[in-house]
This record gives sequence, C-alpha cells and structure tokens, in this order.
Amino acid sequence: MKQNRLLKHLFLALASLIMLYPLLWMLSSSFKPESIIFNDLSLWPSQFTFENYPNGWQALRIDFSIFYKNSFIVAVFSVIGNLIACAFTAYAFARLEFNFKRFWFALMMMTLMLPYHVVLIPQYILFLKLGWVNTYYPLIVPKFLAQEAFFIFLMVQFFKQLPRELDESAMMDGCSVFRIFFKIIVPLSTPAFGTAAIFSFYWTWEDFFGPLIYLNDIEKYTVPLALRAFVSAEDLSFYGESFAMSILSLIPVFIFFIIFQRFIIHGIAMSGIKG
Amino acid sequence: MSNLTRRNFGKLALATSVLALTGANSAKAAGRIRHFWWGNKERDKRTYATIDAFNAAFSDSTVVGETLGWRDYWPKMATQVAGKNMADVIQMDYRYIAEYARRGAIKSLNPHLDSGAIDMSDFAQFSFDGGTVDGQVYGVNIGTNSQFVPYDKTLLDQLGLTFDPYKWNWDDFVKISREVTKNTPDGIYGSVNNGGQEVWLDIWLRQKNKALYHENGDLAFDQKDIEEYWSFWVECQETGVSWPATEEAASTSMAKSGIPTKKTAFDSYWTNQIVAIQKLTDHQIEMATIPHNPGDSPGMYYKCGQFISMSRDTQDESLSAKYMNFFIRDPRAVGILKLERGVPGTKEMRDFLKPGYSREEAIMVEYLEGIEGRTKKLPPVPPKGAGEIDRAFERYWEGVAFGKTKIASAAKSFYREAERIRRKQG
Amino acid sequence: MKKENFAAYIFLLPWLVGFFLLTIQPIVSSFYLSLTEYDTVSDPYFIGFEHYEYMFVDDYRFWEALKVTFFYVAVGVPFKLGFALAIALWLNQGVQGLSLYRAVFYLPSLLGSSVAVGILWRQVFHTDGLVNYLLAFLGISGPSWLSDPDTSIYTVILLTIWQFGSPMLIFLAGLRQIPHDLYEASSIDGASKFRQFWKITLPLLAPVIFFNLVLQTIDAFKTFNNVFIISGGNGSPVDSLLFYTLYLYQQGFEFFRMGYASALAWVLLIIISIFTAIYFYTSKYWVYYESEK
Repeated sequence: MKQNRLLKHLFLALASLIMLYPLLWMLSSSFKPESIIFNDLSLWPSQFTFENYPNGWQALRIDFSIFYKNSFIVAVFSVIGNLIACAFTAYAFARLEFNFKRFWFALMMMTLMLPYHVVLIPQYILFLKLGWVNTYYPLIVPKFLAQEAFFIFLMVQFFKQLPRELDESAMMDGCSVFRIFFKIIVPLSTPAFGTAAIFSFYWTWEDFFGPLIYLNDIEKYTVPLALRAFVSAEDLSFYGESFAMSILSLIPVFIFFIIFQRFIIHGIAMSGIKG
Repeated sequence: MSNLTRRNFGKLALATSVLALTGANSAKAAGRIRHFWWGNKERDKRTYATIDAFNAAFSDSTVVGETLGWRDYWPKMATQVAGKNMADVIQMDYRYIAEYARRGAIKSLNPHLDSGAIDMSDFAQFSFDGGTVDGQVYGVNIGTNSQFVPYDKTLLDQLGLTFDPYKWNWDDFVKISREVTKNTPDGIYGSVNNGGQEVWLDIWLRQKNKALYHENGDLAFDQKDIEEYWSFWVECQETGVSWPATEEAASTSMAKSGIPTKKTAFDSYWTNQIVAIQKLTDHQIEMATIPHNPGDSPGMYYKCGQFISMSRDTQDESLSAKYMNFFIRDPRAVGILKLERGVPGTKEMRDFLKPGYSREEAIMVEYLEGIEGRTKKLPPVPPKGAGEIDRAFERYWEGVAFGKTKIASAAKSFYREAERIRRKQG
Repeated sequence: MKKENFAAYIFLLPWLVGFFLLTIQPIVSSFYLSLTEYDTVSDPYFIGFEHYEYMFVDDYRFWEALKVTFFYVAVGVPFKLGFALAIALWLNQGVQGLSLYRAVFYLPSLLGSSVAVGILWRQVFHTDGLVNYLLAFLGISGPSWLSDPDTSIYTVILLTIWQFGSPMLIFLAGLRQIPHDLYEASSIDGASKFRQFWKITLPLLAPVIFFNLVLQTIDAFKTFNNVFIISGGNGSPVDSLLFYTLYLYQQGFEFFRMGYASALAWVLLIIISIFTAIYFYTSKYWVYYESEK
C-alpha cells in the first residue's frame, strides 16, 4: 500500500517536472542577464540578476502597473458578463422547450465555428460606426450579451447533467421556471460557474488580438499587447525582460485559478435530494 | 418569426453590410493628428520623445503616437484601411508603398513638396525615387539603407584571412568561406545561406544587368536565372561554403542568425541593423559589400529603409505635413531619432549628427558613403503581388534546400507560379 | 412537450440582442466578401463563386493546408483528451497534495499562446535544446525538430498536448458533479473499481466528454496562435506548418486578398459544421443526460 502511494507520488513528481520544465526555464532565464539566456541551458542561472524585472516594468513609455490595471478591468467585467449572460442563455437551451430551439442552437454553435480573422474586418467597421474603437466596449459588451458561445455550450452540458426530477418536483410545488433557475439550477452549478470563471478570466487576460485591433492609445493597452513590444524578429529583442514580465503576468491568473478552483472541487453532494 | 420575415431580413442584412463597408466614418477633431509606426522598445522611446518635442514646440496642435511591433502593424493597418480609420501619418515600407499608393490608401505629397511645407530639397535623387510611384511622391525617406555582408572580423583575424570589403568577388567569397568551415570546429561555417533571400536574388540579377521586375511589373528574369542562382547556393550548402538547410531554417530571428550565434563568419543584413547585430556578440563586426565580379555592375542600391506617408483618412493635411517636415529636418527631432531607422536623407542633418556617432553608426555612414558610385539606380517599385512572389520564392527554395525537389523542376514551378500571381493581380 | 416560449425568450434575450446587434452583420458581411475581390483598401467588387472554384480546382496550397490541419486534428485531439481524462480521473481519486498537482498540470495552459511560449517552445525543441538533450540519454540522436519539415508538425502537436490542463479542468468539474453516494452504494453492492468506472463514471461524464470532444475539435481546426508563433508566421519550413487559418490569414492580411480569405473561412466553417453535426448525431448513442432518463 505504502509502496503504491510512493510510486504514485514519484510518477506525479516526474510528470510535474516535465510539464513545468519550459516554465522553469523561462523563470530562470528571467533572472539571467540578456547575453547568456540562450547559451546557458541549465535551470540554475550561472549569473544571477534581478535587473530584468524593474527594467521590463518600466521598459515602455508607461510602466506595467497601468497595463495590469487595464487588463484587470477588462478581465473582471468580462467574467461577470459571461457568467450572467451565458447562464441565462444556457438555461433556455438546456431546460426549456420553445419554438425554433434547434435553429437558434445551430446558429449559436455556428458562431463558435467561424474563424475569427474573417469576421474581424466587418466587425471592426461595425464597432467603428458605433464609435467604440479605442475603447474597451468591443472587448466587454459582447460578453454581457452572451456572444462567447463557448460558455453557453459549456453550461448547457453541465445543466443537462443535473437530474430533471429536481425541476419536476419543484414545478409540482408550484415553482415557475424562473424560480427553478435561481433556486435550483444556479446553486447546484458551482463547478460549472467556477470553471467558466477561470476560463473566462484567463482567456480575456491573455487575449491580445482584440486589444490589438481595437485599442490605439498605448495607455489603454493590456498586458499581452504590451508584452509583444519586447520581442522583434528583425531587431534587438529583450528576451530577459519579456520573460520577466510574462512570469509576472501569470501570477494574477494563477491566483484567480487558486481561488475559483474551490468551486469546482467542492461540488455539491447530491444525497438527500432524491426520493 | 415567420418565413417571410426571415427572407426579407436576409436581404436587408446583405444590403446594410455593403453600405457599412463602403461608408466613411465620423470626422476627427482638427488640430490633432495620429502618428502610427512599427517599432521596438528603443525606436518607440525615441519616437515618442520626438512627438513630445513637437507638441512642446507647437502648443496649438497635438500629435498622438500609436505603435506596434512589425508583425502586428500590418494586420492592424489592414483593419484601419478597411474601416477608413487610418492614422494621419503612417510609417511605410518600400515593399508596400506602391500597393498602398496605387490602391489609394496614401496621399500624394507633391502639393506639399511644391509649397515647401515638406522640404526635401537636399535629399539625394534616390530618396525621391524610392518614394515615387507613378510619378508622384508618396513617402518621405526617413532612413537610408543598403545591403551589406556583416563579417566577423575577430574570427577572420584568428584564422588569418583578409579580403577587400569593397572589392571582393564571388570567388573570394567561396574561397574564404570554405577556409572558415575547414579550419574551425564542427558547427561553424563560412556563411549563412541566401538561396531563399529575394534581396540577394535581386542583386545577383542586377549584376547581370537583369532585374526582378520591369517598370510595368512583368518579371524581368527567366527560369534559367533561378536555376543558376539556386545551383550556386545548393553547391554552397554541399561544399561547406554555407551552413546547412536545417540551420538556415532555424535562424528565424536576428538573435538566432549566423553571426550572433557565432556559427558563421558572414551573414546578411541591412545597414541600419549593424547596431543591433553588434550588440548581440562580443566579436568585432565589420561591413562588406555583396561580392561582385569585376566588370559586372555592382548590383547594390540605396534603399529607403522606411518612409512616412500621409494617409487617405487624414483630416488635417497641413498639420500632417508640418509634422512630417519636423520629423526629417528639425534638429530637435533628428537629434533624438538619430540613426535608429537608418541614415537621415538630408545632408544637413547628417552633418548635424556627425560629431555624436558611435562606432557602429560611424562605420554605417562610412559604408554608405563608401559604396557611392558602386550602386545602381533603385529598382522599380515592386508590383502588386510582389509579397506573394517573395513568399513563393522562399518556399520553393526550402524544397530544394532540403532535397525534396530538384532544382530544375522547382525553378519551373516557381516561375509559373510567379507569372500566375502577376497575371491575377493585373 | 409543453412549450415555455415566453420564459425561454426572456432567458434568451441577452443572446438574441447580442446576436442581432453585434454578430449577425459581420457574419453575413463575411459571406458576402467571399463572393468579392477585396483588397481592404479599395471597395470590394463582386465576382460570384470564383474564389470557391479556384480553391478546389487550382489551389494546391489549399489542399496542403487541409492536409496539415487534418493531421493535426486527428493526432492532437485524441492525445490531448486522453491525457486530460486520465490525469483528471487520477487526481479525482484523492491524492495528497491534490490541489498542488492540479495547479501544476494546469499551469502550462495558463501560458496560452503568448510570445513567451513561442520562444520557450523553440528553445526546448532546438537542435541543442532540452528534448534532444533528453533523447541523447536514451541514445537517440534527435532531429532538428523545428527546421525539418517532417518533424515540425510534432512540435505544434506536442504544444497543444502540453496544454491539456484546460480540458482536464473541465473533466474534473464534471467528475465532481457525480454524486458520491452512487459510488458508495455500488461499493456496498460489491462493485469493483473498474465496474464503477464503466457503469457510473463514464456514462455520467458523457456530456462533459462530449463537450470536450466537440470543442477541442473545433479549436484544433481553428488553431492559429500556436502555429503563428512557432512557425514565424509563414508555415515554414516548406509549408509543413501551413495550418488552414494561417493560410487564411496570409491571404487576407499579407496578400491583400480578403475576399479569398473569406471564402476559405466559409469552407472551414462548413467542414467544422460537418464534424460537429456528426458528433451531435452520434451522441444520442452514447451520451445520456441525467436530466433525460
């Protein structure tokens, strides 16, 4: 028994190392001076320096605290928008019967399947006409209007996992569909919401293409957009600083993950609901 | 929703889409212009400082800066062009200036040159030529460039090899490269491989008094030329003159190319990159011309590294012109920008900067002056589809370099594709 | 079935507003553009279905791109989901330091497709990089992964597999929604772990497996960022990394042929739809929703 556990741990530890090696390399490189980063393959820096961090932080015209603030604003609003709007939509698809249900569902799936680059220009023109270019609206409003179909689909699948008997017995007690949604479905779906929150935050946090297209002023840039200024194919690159800032940008997402994973893990026990 | 409504809705949607695509956007505030450039940390710093200097000098107007890396610049530009929302002053590259000019995305600067708002009077002829498309000037040269072969002087000195950097020919190139490969440990070679570099092909052709494109956009070379060119570079690969195909494919950025990684003695770059290259290695890097045989024309040319242009969407032409002029002529601007984008086009500014050059900057200017008289006229502005042809050239070369296709058949396929691309673009 | 139209449309309201306000017009436009020649600078002009004709008849790079993408989907998706499910099951059984390991396995996904990942990956797969270093221990002389057209695709496949943390997380969430007392009850009845897996876990997890399958497939077809940063943007060497969306991007944003790019996008949409439809259709044979028993 003990041997099994030891083996399990050993294997997990090894797997972890392999998973993490590239990250560890990036972490250690962020502590190396620029000139040896690509020559020194070892994980422990042969020359140790902290300079990449402050240098990277202030490398661009504005320091990274602004970029972090911007990223936070966009990410937090996006998460809220997604959770609320997609939950509503998913409930309709998962639990209710209505005219044209299949048609709308197919349309929703279609929005998921179309490659982004080709709606890009017409969408840009649309937002331009709305006067939303160079603001955060194109990045946030679609979330509040459930236009990120991934989350709708995710929640639909999770909602469908919940037993219909719950709905039925509530309806027999005279509950409306609205009450069922708020009193039954939502509380039981914390794993789904936790997952959605994590994904939503992380995707928005690391999305650079949306900000690239819609933000003109560097003061409005988000972190991933700012990170791209460090590395250039045809010129001097500042890899050390790029790595340092990348590592730092991982931290908020990681923290968010740690906080929200509790919702996934502590799923509600279903006993006592049946019968 | 009834069936009827749905069908009508579809038509309506189609119609609005078309309207939306072709409509203009709202007017911008006058006295405020945007300058959009591609850059990097260093260039951005200097350019923003220049913008600040302009705003400080002229308090009744505002210039706002926008910047991205090279790779992100063009997709963003494409959306702004489509949305008719371009910045007022944009940075332009020789490769695209003709396409943008001919498609109407940038404005002719002739009115401003004539009125003196933009003063290019002491620019060399090639500076004008570079930015001229169909007889009108569309871009102001903000950095002169030329091609050069960087060489690792430290390495060559160690091996006791010398040559004349302005007069060496192809035999010298081959001989010295072979010596380097032979007398150094495994993994170090004479040169990088330029079989897929359209720039080198261009010069090669020009040395034979041919070219890539005619004025009217037709291909000015034939299949045999490609075969010869590729045969040479394949032989280089196989006889130890250049490094192998795998190395070439792996060197996707400056930091990974031959000289910074200390894997080759010779590399290939544009003159304004000498500063960056030198920073990446502790060996001493010097500048040499592209090899050319005596009797052949040298083939090289002065290139306008980058331009600034006035976009079709600008709402304030005179302010844009004023800013552009400031950018190239005003000591307050040039003193900040210096040689980061290449050598300034105006002699006045070159003289102004002379006292402050670093070693690399000094040899860059020296080189550019040294090749005067060894250069030919700038090739004509690349026609539509040139970018695609360049990519095709790289691709077919890779097939040859990796031994997947024979030279003759690759050359034939490439040539046919190039012709087809040209035909389709009109 | 009793219909709850009013309630349903209330719940659908945000989506409907969003769809008709923000989404439908760009989609319709993009289809219209696929019927035009559009260089983004001048106005588009109508050419009918010429692009589609050209694509299937004349464009060999189109078929290259399809080949590369299909291979990637066929290999990448099963492996990625396989890992994700296996690790999720394992972690779900309770391991000391569970939360730590869960975080560790999820960490690579957090890196996404940032510039840093591209550099990282190129470093790891470089001729003198980590992978070859390890292979050398096993006595294998590793190829130059990135610059050899035969092996370059595996670097991208491995990148996506390395980021299995996302589907793993979803599997974990799904596993957590399976009521514990089901397992307890069956243990009392003497069911083995294997039987439990087969009879309880798998059927109850089916909706989530289905979800991951559909989404990973869609995602894999649409892969862009990873390839862009690894291949340097042009599918080299020798088009070995010419993923479909990369080709699309090239056509639209580098060659000024947005009309053709739009046509390519719609063809991709149809391909993905076919796959998705197949998934949905066959799902009724193996996916049982608890709510529909």
